[in-house]
Amino acid sequence: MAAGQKLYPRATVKKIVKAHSKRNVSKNVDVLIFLDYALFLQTLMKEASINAKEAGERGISAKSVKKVTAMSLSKFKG
Amino acid sequence: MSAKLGGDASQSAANIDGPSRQTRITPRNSDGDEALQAAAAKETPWRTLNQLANIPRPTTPLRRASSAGPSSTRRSARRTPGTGHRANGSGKKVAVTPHGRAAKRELDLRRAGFTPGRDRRRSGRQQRETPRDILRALSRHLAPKTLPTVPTPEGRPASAAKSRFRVTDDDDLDDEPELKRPRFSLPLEDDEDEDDSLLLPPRSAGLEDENFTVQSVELGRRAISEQPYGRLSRGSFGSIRMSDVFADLNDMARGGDMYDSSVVGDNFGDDVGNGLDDEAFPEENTATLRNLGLFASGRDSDIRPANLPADDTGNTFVFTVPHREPTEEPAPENTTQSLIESIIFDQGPDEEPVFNEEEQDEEDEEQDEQDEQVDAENMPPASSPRGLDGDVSMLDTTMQESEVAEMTRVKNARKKKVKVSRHGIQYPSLPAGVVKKLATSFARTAGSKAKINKEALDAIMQASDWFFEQVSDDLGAYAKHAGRKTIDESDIVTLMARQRQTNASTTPFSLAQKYLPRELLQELRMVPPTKFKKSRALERIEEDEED
Repeated sequence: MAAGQKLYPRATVKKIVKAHSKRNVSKNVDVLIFLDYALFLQTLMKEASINAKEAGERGISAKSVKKVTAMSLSKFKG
Repeated sequence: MSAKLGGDASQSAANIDGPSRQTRITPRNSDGDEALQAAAAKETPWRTLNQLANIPRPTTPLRRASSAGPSSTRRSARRTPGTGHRANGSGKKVAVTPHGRAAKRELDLRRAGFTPGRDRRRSGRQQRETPRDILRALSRHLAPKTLPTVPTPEGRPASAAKSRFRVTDDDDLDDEPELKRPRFSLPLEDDEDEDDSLLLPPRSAGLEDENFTVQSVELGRRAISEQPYGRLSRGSFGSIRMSDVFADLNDMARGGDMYDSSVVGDNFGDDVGNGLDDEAFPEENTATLRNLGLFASGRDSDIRPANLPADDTGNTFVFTVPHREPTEEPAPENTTQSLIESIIFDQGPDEEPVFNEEEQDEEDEEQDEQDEQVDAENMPPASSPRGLDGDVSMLDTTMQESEVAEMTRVKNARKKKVKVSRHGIQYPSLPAGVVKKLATSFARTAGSKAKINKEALDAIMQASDWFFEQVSDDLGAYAKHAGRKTIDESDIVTLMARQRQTNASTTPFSLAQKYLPRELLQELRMVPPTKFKKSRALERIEEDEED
């Protein structure tokens, strides 16, 4: 995938994780967390597109995304 | 029995059997075992074998002593309590050796044999003098005399009839309690029809079609005042239970009615009028909830740009029910839909932001045309009842204001949502542009060409928020378990291994090479200690999998 000038705001990911876990995040963990997020998003989009194709939709609709959200989240439960 | 139990047992059995056995065991041969052996040897070789087997056991006498005690007390209790106690106590004292015990038992037996009352009770002759025996004797005396009197020609049918009646009476008596037992359950059966009619609808309501998990259904319902998004406006995946949905089923009938009427266009104005009061002051919680697209049902709200008075209850809850496509199901068809779906539909305007024509993507133009048509159909009746009151202009202006308010709300929500985590810390969400870029690229790799519209992006953003919450919880748990206050690289490596994203062939580093740009990759490479840790963790994982 061709990344632009900046793929994602690193501070934001760090803040999100910090807020949720109430723990500090060591230095380069956010990269790996973002990597995990990318994997999740890939799974989500794959499932959503499969779902959308099964439903006969053209693009990926919010409905198909919502349908596969819970399943994809449960796949990424640690 | 005596043979089986050995010498002492045979003595005790003899005690039980009565005076007929007593004579065999006299005080002369009260040495016990020898005498019994001699006696038993006369009888059968089997007994001798048994007894020989029993002799070398030293424990058996003690056991028998304990069991023989109560038997002697039983017997002594028959005589007098005093002697019984004495015999029992002395028996225990004497019963140091088997011989002494045997002698004691013989003594007791002889005492028992000497008492006259014992024989009498055993034979039972004295008991015949009880009133029952007297009556029996009387009946014996009377029976031959009464027999000729009973069979009279008239008496036979009468007695037969009586006997029949008795039988029937008995049957009735038998029947009556049987009838009464059913009667206890009868009122319940009568009520069952009503109960079924009362109970069945909630059983089948709403919970069947949807993807409710067992966990979500079984959780307790929270009070409306304690809804999690009341305190925290975060729309987190974990903080909302499906069981909370249940409270909204109360609005079923009302919502359905209102929906029907509004689609027909009769009372549409009333709905708008009611809804506007709430809509003028939208709550923040509901705003965030709506705009997150959280659990939102399909955005059916294009038809009616107004909230329903369902907000009056403070019930800002969102149905987790998925989601109908308004394009697939145009509005007029919804009138014939089932009750539940109509509720979902009716909930739609509450939860979903209103998308006007300007907001729609180019893809939704067809739908917009439909919406405009529907609006055109619905608007005149909407304003006409108010027009009779002279509030047309008021209504229009307020509607516009509300639309503007909703639009700004939507935009604000899109720009920046400040959410509060479980620990009360505010956190941002990933910028929508980043998410959209990533999602589009992934969608392209997944095969779908069309671009992601805004609702889908909202859904993806919501999923991302949930994902980050889940991942952060897990990471925090791992760090806590390791006794660290900092989330380390080992945590995320463990997490990815547990997510089965990494395995022996796929390392985090290879994944990073695949998905991350070079700068970030260099970030990862640049730090030797973390890399060392990571590689060590990977080695361990690989070893485990090789094993």
